[in-house]
Amino acid sequence: MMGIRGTHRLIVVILVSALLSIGCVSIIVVAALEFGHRHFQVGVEDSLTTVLRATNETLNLWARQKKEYLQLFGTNQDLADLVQALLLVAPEPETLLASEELKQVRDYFQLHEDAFGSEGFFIISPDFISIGSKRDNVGTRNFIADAYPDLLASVVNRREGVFIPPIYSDVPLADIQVGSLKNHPPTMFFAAPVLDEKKRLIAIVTQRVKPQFLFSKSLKVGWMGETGETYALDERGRLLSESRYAKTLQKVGLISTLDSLLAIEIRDPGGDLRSGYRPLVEHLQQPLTRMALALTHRQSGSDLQGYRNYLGIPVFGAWLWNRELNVGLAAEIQVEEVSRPYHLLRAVIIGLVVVAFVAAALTAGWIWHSSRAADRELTARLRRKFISLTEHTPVGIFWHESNGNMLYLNPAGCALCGIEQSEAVENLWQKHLHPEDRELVSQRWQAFIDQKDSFASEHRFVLPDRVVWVYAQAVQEIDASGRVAGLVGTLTDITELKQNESKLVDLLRMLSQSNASLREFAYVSSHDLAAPVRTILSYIELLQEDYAKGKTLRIEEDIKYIHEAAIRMQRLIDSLLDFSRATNKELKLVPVSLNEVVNEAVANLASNIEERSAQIFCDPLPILQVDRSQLVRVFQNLISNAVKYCLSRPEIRISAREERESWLIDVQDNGIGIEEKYQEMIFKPFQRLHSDDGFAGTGIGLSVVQKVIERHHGEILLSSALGRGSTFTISIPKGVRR
Amino acid sequence: MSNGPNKRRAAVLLVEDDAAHRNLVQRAFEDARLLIDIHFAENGEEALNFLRDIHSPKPNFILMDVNMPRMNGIECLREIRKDPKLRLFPVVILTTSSDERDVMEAYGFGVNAYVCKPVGFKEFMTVIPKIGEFWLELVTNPS
Repeated sequence: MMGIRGTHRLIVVILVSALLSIGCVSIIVVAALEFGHRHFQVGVEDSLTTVLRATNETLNLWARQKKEYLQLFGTNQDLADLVQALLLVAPEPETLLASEELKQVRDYFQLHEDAFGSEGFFIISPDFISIGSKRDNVGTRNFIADAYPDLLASVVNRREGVFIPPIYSDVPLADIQVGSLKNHPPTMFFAAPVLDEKKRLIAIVTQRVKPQFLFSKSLKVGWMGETGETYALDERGRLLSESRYAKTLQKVGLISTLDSLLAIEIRDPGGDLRSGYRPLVEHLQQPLTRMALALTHRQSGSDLQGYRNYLGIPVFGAWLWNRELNVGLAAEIQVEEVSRPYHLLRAVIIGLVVVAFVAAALTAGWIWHSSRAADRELTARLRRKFISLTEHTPVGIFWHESNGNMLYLNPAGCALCGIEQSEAVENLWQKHLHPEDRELVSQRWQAFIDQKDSFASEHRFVLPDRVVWVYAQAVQEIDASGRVAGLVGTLTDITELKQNESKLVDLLRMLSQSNASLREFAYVSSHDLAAPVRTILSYIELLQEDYAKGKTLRIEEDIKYIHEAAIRMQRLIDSLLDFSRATNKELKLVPVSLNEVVNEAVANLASNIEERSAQIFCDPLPILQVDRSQLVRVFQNLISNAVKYCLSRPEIRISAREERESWLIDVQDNGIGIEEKYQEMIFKPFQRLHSDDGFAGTGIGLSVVQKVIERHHGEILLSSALGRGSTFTISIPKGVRR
Repeated sequence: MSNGPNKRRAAVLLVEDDAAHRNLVQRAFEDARLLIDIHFAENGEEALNFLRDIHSPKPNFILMDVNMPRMNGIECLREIRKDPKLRLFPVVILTTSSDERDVMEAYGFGVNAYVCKPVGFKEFMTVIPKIGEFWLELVTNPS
């Protein structure tokens, strides 16, 4: 049993340590993932910032070249002369368009088309009137002045080239609605002063630039990976560059053509437009994206927590405000794309950990299962052992249900009771209990059930062929929850023990009887011996007195009494020796003819018999295993008594009767008989019914007879009545017993 | 000694199975010069028969041994105490036994005195006359 408990404890220890290691590993993995995530974020930020800066530098470089070129272009003296002339023309559209000065300016730009480009130009007077243009929009206030008056003002004041961010050409800015003017393509400019030979500003020259070819192109370089996007925004959050997702924007109706320039503001639709999400509020009501909001405040920054871009897709972003170009630049990449390796890594790690856990769990389960299997095997082996133990133990074992029904009696119990198991289980206590023991056993059993005590009883079972004494014990079988599950007990065969016990009781009784008779014998014998001594002493005193006084008659009398007393003593001592012999002398058991024994007894008593002319009739007697000399003494005493206690001529008859186990010898006389009340007393030593004067005797003859017969395991009985003679019957068993 | 001529001669019933002892008691009374008639019985049965016989003289007291055949002294004492005509006779037990149980048994059955048999005649001569004096002179016998 200890082995099983030990294994369980070991398993618990293993499971607990497994759980602890799982916990530790989990913490380490989470910490590692967290660290990896940080690292990954920093990496993404670095990349975004790098791309953003590179793009910014490219743009700056490009813009600086453009500005320098235009600034140089503005200092050309030929141009200055042509512009001086044009300034003199009245600033009205018809006048200007009809003027030769404008034609000459247009020719000049035609001439420098290779370097300047053919997209278009403006010559703007210091009061911001377009006085020269490739197209016919002259003689009016230039729209750049409406859109970016500060930029034009800085050209005038600082005599520097500037970049004019994209705008819708020839359209007042106030009227611009997103996507509403499909036929007015957005445009942007560089502006630079036109200086005369004295470096005085006479006008502003602008060079039109197609944003698609330069602005967007340089930004496109910063499109990282599959979803990375770099774009420019104006201070209102409008997109100034091409969108990578123009098709999506067109599909959802935000732009009409694939040209997204200035078409939308960077606002968060609230959900992923690509996956079919459609915002509930219209475009301009939507909040600016995190990035766009920061740029409208001209703030640079980055966001690595993730926010929704203008397509509603979560992105990481970095942005900066380019003061030189007066545009915001942003680099974004979709969270999903950049996170993919990280997520893959995380998935792999978590997967590995899970696999490890599952493997550990399976191993633990297997260990658990195999230990359980070992337990079961051990339990089964123990069960087999216990069954074998119960079946082979030499003690009867029974088992009752708690309601008292017997369920089982082991083979030893069945053998003890000599009945089949089925019969035992059904009827042992009900039918086979000895009627005399029934009440006691049922009382004890009830007390046992009521007081939850133990049960023990010595009782008998009555079986078809015999009666057995058993010692039964039982205890209650308490299960783990403390309830009485059954009653278990043992049965032990104590029949032999009981027989020995009764023999012992008999022996003890005999011993105590023997002791009592010995005590009595000692008392009586000493008393009887003392009496003649006293008599002798007393008469010796009298003899002395009488002798002194010369009383001759008295002297004779005294001597007579002394003589008689001495003779009595002599007889007493002889009798005692007889009795002692009858009691203690070892018996020599040999086959002896009782007829020979009687003959010898008669021969010993010849003088008495002759004196009384007694007649002795003896039938044929059996031959028995007896002590010859002792049996002679028995018959001698009986015959002697019969002759002595007879008032007429004694007639004595000796005969034998055979019984199943013993012989009965009758010694019948025609004597005085014995009254019934004395019939028991006569067998006691020194008890005499008659005084010395009538019948001589010491009172020990019949005691000797009884003792000898007892030692032969026989009995002596007396049947007599006063005046009707006596019959002493001796029974002697046939078999030899020692 | 003090018996006057007008008085009936005193008598005692001696119940004793041993002739030697009967002779000893008789000699003791004689030597003490007590003028007394001694009647003998050999056992309890004979004693009862003597006492119940209307022709027998009435003894002044009964001197009785215990250990006797047929009916012993104690049984005889019980019979005397049960018999309304005999129950007032003084009974003195004279026996060899000094066992306390025997003494108590005798008193239990109403004995008037219990005397151990003396060893030797000289002792007899100191005991017997005193018994005689006491029971013959100091106690008023039933008529």
